[in-house]
Amino acid sequence: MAELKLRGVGKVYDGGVRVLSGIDLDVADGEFLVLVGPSGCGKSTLLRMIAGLEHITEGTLEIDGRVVNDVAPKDRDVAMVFQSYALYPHMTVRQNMGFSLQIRRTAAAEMDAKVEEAARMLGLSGLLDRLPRELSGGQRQRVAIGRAIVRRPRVFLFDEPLSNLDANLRGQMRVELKALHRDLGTTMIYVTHDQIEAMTLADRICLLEGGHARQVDTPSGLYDRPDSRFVASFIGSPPMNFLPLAPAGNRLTAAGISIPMPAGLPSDRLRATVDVGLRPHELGLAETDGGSIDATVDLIEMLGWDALVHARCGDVPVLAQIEAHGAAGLEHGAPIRFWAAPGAAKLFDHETGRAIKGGGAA
Amino acid sequence: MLMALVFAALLAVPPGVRGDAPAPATLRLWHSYRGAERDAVERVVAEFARIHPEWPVELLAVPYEAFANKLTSAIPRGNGPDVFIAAHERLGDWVESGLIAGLPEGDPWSGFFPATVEAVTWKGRQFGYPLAFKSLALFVRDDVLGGPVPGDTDSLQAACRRMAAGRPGNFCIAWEAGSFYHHAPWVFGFGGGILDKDGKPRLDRPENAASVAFVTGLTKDGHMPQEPTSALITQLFNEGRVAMAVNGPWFLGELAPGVKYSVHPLPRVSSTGLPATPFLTVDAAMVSSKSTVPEAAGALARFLAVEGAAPRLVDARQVVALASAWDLTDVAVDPIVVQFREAAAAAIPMPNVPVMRAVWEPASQALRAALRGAAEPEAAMESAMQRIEIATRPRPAAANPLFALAGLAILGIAALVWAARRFRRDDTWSRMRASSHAYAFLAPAAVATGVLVFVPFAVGTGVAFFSHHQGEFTYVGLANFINILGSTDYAVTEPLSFWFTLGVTVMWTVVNVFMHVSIGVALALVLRRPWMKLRGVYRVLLIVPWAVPSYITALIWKGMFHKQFGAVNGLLVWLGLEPVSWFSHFWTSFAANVATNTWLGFPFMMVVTLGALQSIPGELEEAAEMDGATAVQRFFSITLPLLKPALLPAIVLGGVWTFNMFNIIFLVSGGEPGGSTEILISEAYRWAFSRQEQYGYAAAYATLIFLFLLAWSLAAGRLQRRTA
Repeated sequence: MAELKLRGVGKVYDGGVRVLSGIDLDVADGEFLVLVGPSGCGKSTLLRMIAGLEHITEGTLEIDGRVVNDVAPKDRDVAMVFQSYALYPHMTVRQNMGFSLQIRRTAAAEMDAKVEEAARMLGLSGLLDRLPRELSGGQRQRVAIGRAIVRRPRVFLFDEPLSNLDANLRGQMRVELKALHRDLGTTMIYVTHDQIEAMTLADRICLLEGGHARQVDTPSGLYDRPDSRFVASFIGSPPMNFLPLAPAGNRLTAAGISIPMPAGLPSDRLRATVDVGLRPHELGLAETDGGSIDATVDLIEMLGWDALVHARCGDVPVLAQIEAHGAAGLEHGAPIRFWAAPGAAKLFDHETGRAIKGGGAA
Repeated sequence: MLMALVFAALLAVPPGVRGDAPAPATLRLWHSYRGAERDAVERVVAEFARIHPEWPVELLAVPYEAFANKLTSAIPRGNGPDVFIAAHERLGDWVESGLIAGLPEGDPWSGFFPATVEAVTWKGRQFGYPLAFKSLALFVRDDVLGGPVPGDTDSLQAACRRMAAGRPGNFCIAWEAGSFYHHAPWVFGFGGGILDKDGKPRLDRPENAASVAFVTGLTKDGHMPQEPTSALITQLFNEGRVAMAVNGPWFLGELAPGVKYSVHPLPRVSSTGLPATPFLTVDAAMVSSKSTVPEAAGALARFLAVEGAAPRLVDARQVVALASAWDLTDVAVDPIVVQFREAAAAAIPMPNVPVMRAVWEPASQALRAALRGAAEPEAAMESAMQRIEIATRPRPAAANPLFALAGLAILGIAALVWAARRFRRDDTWSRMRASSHAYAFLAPAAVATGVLVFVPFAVGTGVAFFSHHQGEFTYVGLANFINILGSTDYAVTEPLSFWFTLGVTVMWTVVNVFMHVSIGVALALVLRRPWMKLRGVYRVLLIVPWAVPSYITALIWKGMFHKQFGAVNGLLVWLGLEPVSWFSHFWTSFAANVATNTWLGFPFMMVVTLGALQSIPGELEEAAEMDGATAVQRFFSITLPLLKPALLPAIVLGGVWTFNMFNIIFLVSGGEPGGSTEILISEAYRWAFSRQEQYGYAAAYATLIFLFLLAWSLAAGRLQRRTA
């Protein structure tokens, strides 16, 4: 088990292409940290740098207080699960899982015991003598995980391990991974582009964008207190609505929209336009004192218990998640009035996208 | 070798398919002249046609290399020439096989130089009109020699000693000492001989050994270059680094412009007082025994020799055999041609008996062994005798083919019955008709494969059950196979033995394939490294050895392994080591062959590996790296096992290619020393083409090679399936 400390870590490729800059990150012993972000944000590169598969061109990486920038992967005592599983196709499940032990010249009996224990944990006991090509996707994924846990490394690294699985299996494996982390208690760093995986698995999430760490926080912290419009839009599904509104007295308005100004935000501290964020489930049809939005129905997605109403207020798209019976009978082109939950609105600078927080400096 | 057999087999296909026969009255004349000689012959023929308009003549220039083979296959089938011009060496063979007709008695043979008439005489009768003759002569660069041309061996050695004092790195005299044809003048000069009075080869005479010792001495004293090849001699002579060269008229064409030289008779041998006597080769016009117009053919042959003599002498600078042609006073004859005639005055005709062709290879081998110091001259000549005896041993007794024919017939009927039953049971006929289009598309390829592969294969296999002697094939049953596999005529440990050669061949194949694969895979792995700059350039450069024709590579490497002038020994000397006589010992000679073939073979394995590496995901190696494997462990536990599916077929194929890699063996070591580095395929070639045309014996070799490779492919296929 281990703590990791990243200080000013950056990556510039030979051709001068910069993919990461100034990453500062602390991972506590036994923590489950998720690196999340859109494609090309550098999250996989960061993971590979921690693994030792990519050279660290700037900054330092410490594992348990020792700088490991120039330590070979095999000497860092970390294990990695690859997106493609990277199982050795010519070896059986047993040989795949035991390979790292065999390399370390572990005694045969001990090796068998460790492999079988890992197989039991992962439900692979009956498959030990099969070749990877004789396994299903989920089974292969388990073998890849088994290969990593069998030698009890200090840190586990996961590179989008679930993205090759179908949705059902993904949900199931997510739960199993969570349980595995609980049972092993080992530090885990997990890369994904899927914010649901990030939210469900993580103790803490590091959200990356364009090679920068935008916010590092617990899942609820990211959800409730996004630092920026980007964080707010990335976390949460369906995504947050952003309404460009103008401060007017103690309200924020636009044609057909009027939202009360959140407490402690005098209008004179705001610019002419403010982006107001409202999550779809924070909009309803019942009247509240959280403000109203007059819009036109575009289309309805019925989800069963609830429904997604796509509407349009002028040029601004508005998405609301409401109970299904409330959406019944709504038709394309019909006028609709949404009411916002009181105190739900989050404000972001229209230019910079930074969150505007009550009582603090803007 | 196989190709040669295939062509022999194709030529054996019944006539009527090849060549459109000219009108019956047309005379067909074949020759292998080029340049001025060709022009002269064409003019002579035109003159003949002017005088005899009733006998039009059709000329065909056939390349020298293919000439004898074409003649022996075309004439018996009526497709050959009426008249042809060829060297007299094979005259005996041709007479015995009934290819050429005897000339009318009473022709005025006295007009020709007697030695040339002797050359075309077989058992007391003449079988060709002598046209011109060639022999070895002494070429001298007077500017380099700086003294009188030596008339005997004592003054030759004195001149050499005088020269050696002055200029290191230069030589006194050079000839292709490793070739028995070039050595023969000294055999006669020392009073020795080649055939005894019954016409049987007899090399083991003290005089012959003395002649070898003489040459060995010249080499040892540094007066002659070591391992002299024709190209080397030409170069040395042109550069003025050798004062004298023993060579034939063909040397003229290789001399650089501006080189001053003169031509002289070979010196006398001081100890015997006899002249060094070269062989005389006579170009003769011979008449086919199958000619439909014998009278006209005879007239044309005679016309070429007599009326054609003057133009050939003057325009083509031929050393013509008609004595009276030299008495022309109105036209000046090139003095060099006169010098050649004088040099040939002492020459004796090359024996035209077939057995002579069994002498060259063993005698040359013995010479080279003695020159290298690997054997004393006497011992070398004795071992040559043993080899000659094996090559000229009696043919196996004819066997009754009835047994084999009956067996074949039973097999054939069984196959037919089986096929017919399959046809009926599986309803094959109607199914074939249903997809007749597909069969139509396949037909051309099937026919081509049948003609080019299966027919020659069947013929080649069939020939293995026959014994060949002077154009006649005798059925001998399994005698060839029994002789080869039983190693009955020589010990298993001798290079001539099939088992010895098989051992060498297997070792040759294993060592080569191992080198090809290890170097190829290593280079492919290096080329894949991302830190390699200019990878594309290296990749192309490394494939170049593959793109260069292999015989060119082989000749270059042979040159590099030359004892005195080779780059390899140059490097050794530069490193302060002793130069190695590469082709004197089995292991060094074998190593030279392997080095050459490794150079040729690794690019293929590299390309295969590069392709296979593409299909191995990089993540596998990274996973192994994370698992703690070192680079070596990653290679042996991950990369190599994953390369195996691609490498195994390449190894099977590479094994077959190497097993039959004729070019390298033939051109680099040439089997030296003493035939020990021959492989099966080159040994088969020797049996077919330099040991009395033992085609059946050679075909049996080829059949055994085929069976061996078949077994190897089947075994390898099984291995592949098991690992797949």
